[in-house]
Formats: sequence, C-alpha cells, structure tokens
Amino acid sequence: MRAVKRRSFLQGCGGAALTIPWFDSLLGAASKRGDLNPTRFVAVGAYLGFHQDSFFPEAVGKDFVSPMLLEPLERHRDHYSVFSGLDHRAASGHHNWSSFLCGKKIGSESLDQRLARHLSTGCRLESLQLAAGKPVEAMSFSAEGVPLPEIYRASQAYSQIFTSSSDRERNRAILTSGRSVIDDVLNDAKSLSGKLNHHDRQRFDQYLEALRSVELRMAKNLNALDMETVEIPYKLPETDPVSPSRMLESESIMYDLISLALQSDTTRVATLNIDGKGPVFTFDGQPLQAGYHALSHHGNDISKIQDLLRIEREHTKCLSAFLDQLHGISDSEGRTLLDTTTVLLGTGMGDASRHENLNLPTLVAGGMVKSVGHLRYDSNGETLLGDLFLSIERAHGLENRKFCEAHAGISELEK
Amino acid sequence: MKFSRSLVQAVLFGLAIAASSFGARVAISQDVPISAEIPDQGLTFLETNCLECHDSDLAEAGVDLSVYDFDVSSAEKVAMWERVMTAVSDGVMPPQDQKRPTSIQRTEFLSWLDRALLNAGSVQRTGVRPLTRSELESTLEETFRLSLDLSDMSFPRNRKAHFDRIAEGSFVSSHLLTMYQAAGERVVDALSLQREEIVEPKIWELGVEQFNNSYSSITVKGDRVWLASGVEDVIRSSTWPTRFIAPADGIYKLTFRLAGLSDDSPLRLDIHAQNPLLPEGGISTKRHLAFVELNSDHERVTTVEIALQAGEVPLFYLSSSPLKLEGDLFETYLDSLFRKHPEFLSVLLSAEHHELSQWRGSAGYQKLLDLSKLEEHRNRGVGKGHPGYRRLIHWIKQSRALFAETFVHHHVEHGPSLALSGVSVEGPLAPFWSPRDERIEQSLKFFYGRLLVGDAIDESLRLSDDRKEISNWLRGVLRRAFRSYPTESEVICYTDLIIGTSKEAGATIEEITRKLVAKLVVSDRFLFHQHPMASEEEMLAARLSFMLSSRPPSGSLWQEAGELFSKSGMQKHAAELLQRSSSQAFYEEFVGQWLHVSDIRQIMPDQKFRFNDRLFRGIEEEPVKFFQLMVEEDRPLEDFFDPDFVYTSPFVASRIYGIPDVLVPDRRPANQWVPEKITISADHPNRGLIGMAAPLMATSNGVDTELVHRGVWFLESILGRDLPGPPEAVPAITPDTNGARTPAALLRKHTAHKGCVSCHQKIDPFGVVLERFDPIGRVRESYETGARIDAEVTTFDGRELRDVEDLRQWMLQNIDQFGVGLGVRLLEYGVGRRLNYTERDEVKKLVVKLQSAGELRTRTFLLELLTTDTFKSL
Repeated sequence: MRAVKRRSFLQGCGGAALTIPWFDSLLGAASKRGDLNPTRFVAVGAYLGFHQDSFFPEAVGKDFVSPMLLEPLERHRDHYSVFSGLDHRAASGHHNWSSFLCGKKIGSESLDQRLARHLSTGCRLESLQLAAGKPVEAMSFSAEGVPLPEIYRASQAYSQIFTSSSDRERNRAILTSGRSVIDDVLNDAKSLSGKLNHHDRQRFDQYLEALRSVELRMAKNLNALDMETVEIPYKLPETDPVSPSRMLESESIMYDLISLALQSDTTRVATLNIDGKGPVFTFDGQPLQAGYHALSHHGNDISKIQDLLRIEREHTKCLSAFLDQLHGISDSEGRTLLDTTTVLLGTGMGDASRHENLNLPTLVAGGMVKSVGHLRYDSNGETLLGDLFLSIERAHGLENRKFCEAHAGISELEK
Repeated sequence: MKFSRSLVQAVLFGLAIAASSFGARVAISQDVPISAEIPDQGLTFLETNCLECHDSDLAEAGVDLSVYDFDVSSAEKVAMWERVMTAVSDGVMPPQDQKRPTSIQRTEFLSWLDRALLNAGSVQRTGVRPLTRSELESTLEETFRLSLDLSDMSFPRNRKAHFDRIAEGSFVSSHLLTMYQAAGERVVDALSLQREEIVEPKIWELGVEQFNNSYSSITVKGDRVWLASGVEDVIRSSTWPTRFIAPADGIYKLTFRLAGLSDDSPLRLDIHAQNPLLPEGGISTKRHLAFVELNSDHERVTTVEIALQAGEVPLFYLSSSPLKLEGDLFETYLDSLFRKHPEFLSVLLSAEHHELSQWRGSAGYQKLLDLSKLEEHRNRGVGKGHPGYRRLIHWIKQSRALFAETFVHHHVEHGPSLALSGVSVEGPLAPFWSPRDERIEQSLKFFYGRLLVGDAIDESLRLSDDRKEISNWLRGVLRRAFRSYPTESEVICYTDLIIGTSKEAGATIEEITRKLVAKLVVSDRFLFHQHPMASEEEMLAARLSFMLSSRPPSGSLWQEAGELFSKSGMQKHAAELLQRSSSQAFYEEFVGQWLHVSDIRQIMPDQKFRFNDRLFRGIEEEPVKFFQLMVEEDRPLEDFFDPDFVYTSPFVASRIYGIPDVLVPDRRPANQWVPEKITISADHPNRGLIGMAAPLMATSNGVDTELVHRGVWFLESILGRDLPGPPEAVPAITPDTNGARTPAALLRKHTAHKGCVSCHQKIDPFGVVLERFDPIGRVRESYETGARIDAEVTTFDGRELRDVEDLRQWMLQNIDQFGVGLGVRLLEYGVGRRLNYTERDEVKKLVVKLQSAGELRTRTFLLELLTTDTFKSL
C-alpha cells in the first residue's frame, strides 16, 4: 500500500501536471535509507515580526483566548504553543534580525542547519531555504558562518525541488561531467598530500573531505533523476510573483512548495524568510493606507495597527493552511506529517515600531514537542530563545548541550 | 637578567623545511613545536602579578599563565603571549585595583618577553588558502578570457580575521566547492551559444490590479492607475505589471489608454526596462525605451513598440512630475507647494515634529486636507516669511521620502498626474539583435582561438583533434588558471580529457567546455592560492598581483617575476600595477575590509535618515577615493587625520557633513554625486578618517550608534591592534535607542565585570569619543531625547580626551602608531596571514626609519612595505 495517498498531494491552480519523484511512501523511502523514524523541521521568520499585543495571549497556559493574530490557528490549538518573553538578548536594529536562528552571535550555525545535518541524512537536499519577497537579511547560516542563499523565485524553488523534464537532461550532463572529473581531481590531490607541511595538510584534508561530500551529493542528485515519478496537479503562476505587490501570493506558494518537498522527502528541513519592505497591499479591492514597512512604524496609531494586522493575519492564515496540509497527509502507521514535523514561526524583530529585538513573538507547532499553550517568560530572566531551540533539537534526537548562551532547555516541552 | 640560551636555540631550530620538489624556495615555518623554560624572574613576575586570576582554574579571559615553559608551539599560544605583552605594556594588567609591579619589574619582564617573542617568531610563510570571490572571478576571467560577475554569489566570510584573504580562518567546505562549481557553470553559459526556442507571439491584457504598488508609488482608482511621483527610487515612484515578464528577447507592442491631469504644462511618461529579479534601484540606472507626451486634461490611446530582453518588464515613470527629492529640487518643490497652498503650510507649522508617522501616506494626506479646511488654517495667510518656515522645511527635508508619500496624493487629486487604464502587451513580434549572442561568439573564438574549426554560427563547429595543438593551447590555459606553469603530466591529463570527450559520440563544444571547466574549478591547483607546486617567482608574482589588482599576474609582471626579489624590481612592478585600472579593486577591497566599509550595505538605516541607493553609494565610495588619493599624491600619513579637504560628492558633503554652499545650483543633479576634492575648514569635526561617514555608519546598527563597535573599530583598524572576541557567556549591553542610558553608565557596566574590564578599558573610551557622530556620521551635540553627549574620557593609558579634536591631535602626535597599524593591515592583506610579533617589529622599524627621514608618506610607505622580508617570505 502506498502510504502517501494520491489525494494528499496539493491541489494547485489546475492545468498542466507537475512531475516529481515518486517514493513508495514517505516511510518506505526513509526506511530504504535505514531511517525508521524520520522527523522534519520548518522555520518561518517574519522580517518585521508581529504586533506583540495581537500575538501574545493575555492568559498563560492552555485556556487562553486567541488574540487576533492567532485566530486563524484556532483549529490547530492542540498542536501549537506560543511563547512570550523569549529572545537572544541581541542588540536593537534591523541589522540584528539575523540573530533569529543563530542566537546573539550572527553567523553562528543556525538552528535549521544544526538540525539539517542530523535529520536530512540521505535526502537529496540537506535543507531548502526559501523567501517570500527579496530578503533583506539572511536567516540561515552554515557551520562555517556562511549566510545561505534564499530562493525567492517560485519557479527556481520549484526546479530545485522537482527536476522538470526539460531541465533533466541538462542537469544530467552537468552532474555526469562534474562527477567523472571529481575522481581525477581527488586522485591528483591525494598524491600531493604527502609533500605538505602540517598547516597545508590540514587545509588539504578539508578540501578532500569537501570534494568527497560534493561527489556524494552529485551521486544523490543523479540517482534522483532516475527515480520513478508521479504526476502532481500543481501549477505555478505563469510569471514568478517576485514584484513586491505579490509578496503574500509568493508566501502562500512557498508554503506549498515546502509541503511538497517534505512529502516527496526531497528534504526534511526548510526555512521561509518573509520579507518586509514597502508593498502596499490591497484587501477586498481597497489598498491599505501605507506600505508594509511604513505600517510597521505605526507609532501606536490605531488605524495603522489595524492595517498592519491585516497583513500579519495573512501570515498566520498561510501558516494555518500549511499546518492543514501537513495534517492531511498520513503514513501507513496513521501518523500525519504534522506529527513528525516541528514548525517554528518567529522573528528576529520584537517590536518593529521601535526597532527593538527583545520579546520576540514565537510559536512552535507540530507533534514533536508537547503543546503547552502559552508560556510566558520574564524578558530579564534566565530563559532565552536558545532554550526553546535546545528543546526542539532534543525532541528531534540531537544531544546538544548548548545553543549560543542557552544550556537549560524548556522542560515543559518534553514529551 | 639571565635568560636561557636554549630558548633562542629552540625557536630557531627547525624553521626551514626542504623545498625539494617545490623548487628552490626556502620556506620558513613553525612546524616544529617550540618551547623553552621561562627564567626565574619571569616566573616570579607571573606568580606575583598574574596567577591570582590567570591560573589553570580561573584562566580569566581565556589566559592561563600557570606554565613553566614559554610555549609558542601553536598560533593560539603565540597569540596568548602577545596579549600578555600588550596588556602589561599598556598598563591594563595587572588591574588598577590589584597590587602593581614596580616599574623596574615591569620593564624587565617586558624586555624578556619582547626578546622571547622576537626570537620565537621569525618571518612566517603563508599557508594555502582558497581564492576569494573576487580572486576567483578574475582568475576565471583571465583563464577563459571573458568577463564575469559573481557579486551575487554568497561566499564564506572569514570571521576570524580582518580580511577574507587571511589563510587562518579560511575554510574549504562543500558549500565553497559548490560555489566554485556554480561559478564554473557561468563560464560554460558564457561560452555556449544559445539557440533559443522560438516563442510564439501572444497578447497579455494587464488590468490595473496587476500593477506593482509600493510606498505609495501609485494610486488605484476605478480602472485607472495614477502616477504622480518623480522620485528617483523606482520602488517609490514607478510601476510595472506584475504578471507579465518578457518570455524572450524581442519587440513588444504596448497599447494603453492615458488620461492626464495638469494645469498647463505637458505631461511626460517614460518607459524603461526593468528586470524584476534585480534590485529596484534608481530610475537613472534603467535602460530607457520610449516616452509619451500628453497635453493636460487629454485622454488618448497610445501604442509604442519597445525592445525587451527575456526576463524584463516595462517600467512606467512620470518624469515630468515636479515631486523630486534630489538636491535642491525638493526645496524648490516645497516652496512652490506652500506658495499655492498656504493652508498646508499653516497645518504643518502647527504640527508636533516627533509625531512623524501620522503624516505618512494617504492617511497623512487626508489628515492634512481635513485640518487645512479649518478656519484657523484656511485664512491664516502664512508664507515663506513666517519665522518657523526654515525650521519646517528642514524638518520635512529630514524625512523627505516619508513626506513624498503624503504629497503624492495631492497631485493624484489635483495634478500634475497621469493615469493608465491597463496595458495590452503583444509580443515578441520580431527578434532584435541581441548583443549577448555576439558576445558569446566572440568569447568562444577568443578562448579557443585556432583550435576552433568552422564558423561559430554553423552547427558544424568543432575543435581540432590535433593532440599537439591541443596540448600547446592547454599550456596557456592551465598557466593562466594555476598562476603557475603546469607540469607535463598535467598537460597530458587535460589533453586526454579533451580528446576523450571529443570522441564521445555527439560531443559538442559545450560539453568539452563543461568537462574542462568542471575539472579545473575544483582542482587544488586552481583553487588554492600559494599552492606548494608553484615556484618562488610564481608565488611572489601572484601575491603582488592579487594584492594590488585582485587579479592573477599577467604581461610583464609574469615575464619578469624574477625581478621581484630586488627592491627596485618589486617597486617598479608595484608602481605599474598601481597605475592600472585594475588597482581599483585593491582600493575597494582593502579599504572596504580595513575600515569595515563593506559592511554598510548590510545595514538598513532607519527611515528617519531617509537613505536612498545613491546616498549609500556616495558614502561607500568616499573612503576608497580618499585612500586612493592619499596613495596617488603620496600624502603624509598625518593627512589621514587632518586633511584640508574631503573627497566626496557634493551631495554627501552637504547632507552628511553640513558643508555649506557646496551644491552648485545650476549643476545637473547627477553631477552632484560625482566625488571631488572639497575644501573643508581646519576645525571641521568630520575631516579625515575619524569623522568619515562610512566607518561611522558601519559601526552603527542603522538605528543608533554602537559605541563598543566603534571602539573596537578604532583599535583594530586605526591602531592595528588585534582584540579577542567577546566572551560568549557575557550578555550584550544593548544600545539604547532612546539614549536614556548614558555612555558613562554603559562604561561602568563593562568595567564592573571582571571578564570585560581588560578589553573594555581600552575599547570603550574611543567609542565614547566617537559618540559625537550619529549613526550616519553627522556631528551631533545631543541624543534625540535631548540628553547631552558627554565625550570626555580617560583612556587606558591615562590620557584625558575631551572631544574628537583631542583624539585627532593625539593621533597626529603619535602618527607612528597609526603607521604601524596601517602597515600591519596592508601587509596582512598582501601576504594573507596574520603578522606575528617579529613581523610587526619589522613594520615598526620601517615606520621609524621613514619617519626619521621625513618620508612617512602613503605611497612611499606602501612601496617600502612590499620590499620587507615579511612580504617576500613564501
């Protein structure tokens, strides 16, 4: 029996079919790699954050009344927790937004990358970094401190996840050429290593290891080109939604693509960076009174906050639809994709109106960590956002003792 | 004081390794562990003054001095002893509140440590490291004889050193190799003739809801899109269809209905080409395609034909709009607006300036309109003569982008403005000559040369199969790629690759190119700078060329590389390189990283600073141009601090430095952005490096200043000191954007913490002095809250500084310290490694020599540095 039901795949705009690699089942594909309990992680970051009063519930615990921004998530009430008072103690300003997944020191390996090395073993892509709108600040950083490029064109993201038949031959040519020469290069380089001093030898060893890992990835990609495929009725819009006015449309599509990437087991870790420049959005045929960024500087003007919340509510609506998708796909054991995924919604900006990076609105959904409702912390207390990240890592089987300056974790989340 | 002989012997032992297969190079290395006993007096000093905090248990600031040996077997250990040297000689250690050594004890200890460190670290050799992004780009260009742009690719940043090209901290990861492969694919694309598939023409009907709207760039009313802004930033003034992108190069026919609203002057709509994947930027950077003029209050259907490249969209811009922000145009605009509408002036004269956001956008305009209808404003009859007028204009100009979003709505209602009623696009109707195809054909011929058989347009195009011819051609290609002559076995190996690929059934030139590139870009010979297979001459030529041009060596430098070992030869070739246009890369990359200027693009200035792309560029290029001028005119080092000019654009000079009368009214706006030498008063706080906008901005966070960051910048970039990173366990002292906490309070917080004091005692005073400059480099007397800025400090060595001017005077009196700092950074950039104690000492001696000869000038100093042992050690 195919564990992934055909009907479970996303229904897009209709029309031409999409071809993606077909696995017998999510579980089946994973078990072929000896991975019996695959788990997944998705992080979503909003560049301008969320209006705190409309994001944090008044009450703590499970019996809170959903504030306006959490209303769209009401049906997932049992599957998420919301946190107030957490941050990395990072300095203020837009520039420090990138501390979101890194902790206070921007450029430290980000949470998604720490998890990717562990979770995506054997997947074609170790992780997938997407953006809605052209991102201003990077969200993911490799272990070497490299900000990872984020794809903001839906068509590019799509071809990253699914090789279309037109790209297939070109990719095959690139991969075949690349792979065949790497063996040669490896042999040439190995013959040199005996002639090197200590420092150069270390660098060469790094290089040889990197070459081997590139070769491995190319082999994986080549294999993926030969995999069985299935037609998926998902169609991208004719033109990429890259113009600022289409940012919300792009956000929705990127969520769809993440969902497809998880379903096809192309990767198990994905990030989505939601940009925050100046598009003036139109709702019900009526444009808002100012651009997104200008609204975020609302200066506590009620009408501006109302307009801002129209946009921010779209973000939580998109998230809710994404959780619906994950919830709607079951494996043969009856577990939904949401059961084995952690979805983190957060930001590096606590209050965009004041450019303050404290008390970051944060929400965690999915079945890997316990749902505890609303946990409130003292912004001057000892618990940091890194503690939440540590708990997420532990829930996914990582035994890290420290995330930046946090080392305790949040015991309430343990299952 | 008696010291162990064995120390000297130990440190000198084993420094040379045989060069054998790598040519005649005498390499100097620290492969062999070095350690020696610390003499008794040294041990006593450590025990009495240091061990209370720096024993193996506490090891404050990561320094453990519970040792008996002077162990310099690793870079970390050497760095630790150097930190001890600096801390004791600066007087920072032992701390002020501890028992202090006598001056004799201190001098004796420092004297021993100085000698020990000098003996321990003779000049080093530089380890291999991967090419940086710009080096990769230029090496690929040189190898394949084409031009490339890799600036959009994300390369690892060296976070452990001042420069990306420092070997320590560089890392070869699979991510880096993937980047190299991606760069290689760009080479393959640039050498592959695209036989594009024919795209059938089609019609797109684009309704008003499909036009981009950001920052009030358009107003949609019914079936019309209104344009009224003439602001330079495309994203704030123009619009484009969001659901059309040209599918192929070609001619496209645009049909649209226009309606105008204007008093008397004609309206002009300009159409430019825009690639929505690239940064929006300014309208002046977009390719102009067509324009349409319309008399006031007319309506008509217009058709224009435009040439678009695949991926582009048409951009609509109302160039006749009076609402422009550049230079004096905005003030002229405001004068005219308030002359016609004194009621607006009256409302804004009564406004509270801190409640800025309420005036923004359509809501702001509506508020302005509602209030202006009140009796008190309607008939108030205020004008330019009002005593608050100048202050109001200043306030509005401070937030010009914000107010442009307000006033634009006035013009939508009352003109001049212009409406589009949707657009019909038809195309591609006919192909147009695309320079891209021709460029590829030329590149192909240029790269393969005589090896190419047949006509490039013809499908029968192939490569010669003559083995000898291929090998000869490859010798040149590999030489350029490796920055070193290839061995015969390498030539044979690559020849086999080409012949083997050619023989594969149906292999095209593209496939041969792909295979060649795929192998080259990940091979160690290509990827590593200072590869051990290169000869001494080749290495030195590559070092000099990559330093002064960021390009691999070519031409006479390559032919005459042997001359580089003589002083005259080195200086001759260096002078030649500095004369070439490629030296621009040296100025940009060195200054960008030395002064942290390359960081400013990552900063998003708060809207209160009303930044645009051109202001960014103006600020960014100033230090580069300034440094270039210092070198080219061989100016004395004192001019880094006390020049009688700034070298920047009139716009930056006026906007940031407040230099009066610098904007020439009849000059074209674009020329206000061209950098020039502008005279500055002898007491202007912004003169020289200390008051330059770019580093001051790079050491802020876009919202407010970061005084610690500025202090670190001063120590590292100006004084050439290396500081350890902040300890992780210590929480950040968050800058307060409201300025409620004073710098003095912050200082106390740092100095109260034992782990912080040794560094922050040095860092913070300089940061406090630089508080006199706001986050974009403007002089300020107070914070936004009105709190006065108090810049009086005492530095770690007891100097009292009252202001920026004191700091400047101190630098002038101690210009040798700056000279050492600059020299160290220049050499580090050139050789690609951190300098050790001995090498810093060589720089010090050079500075002393030049200073006593009255020759401490920028270009002279730079050329002398290139002849030091430190630069030439391979």
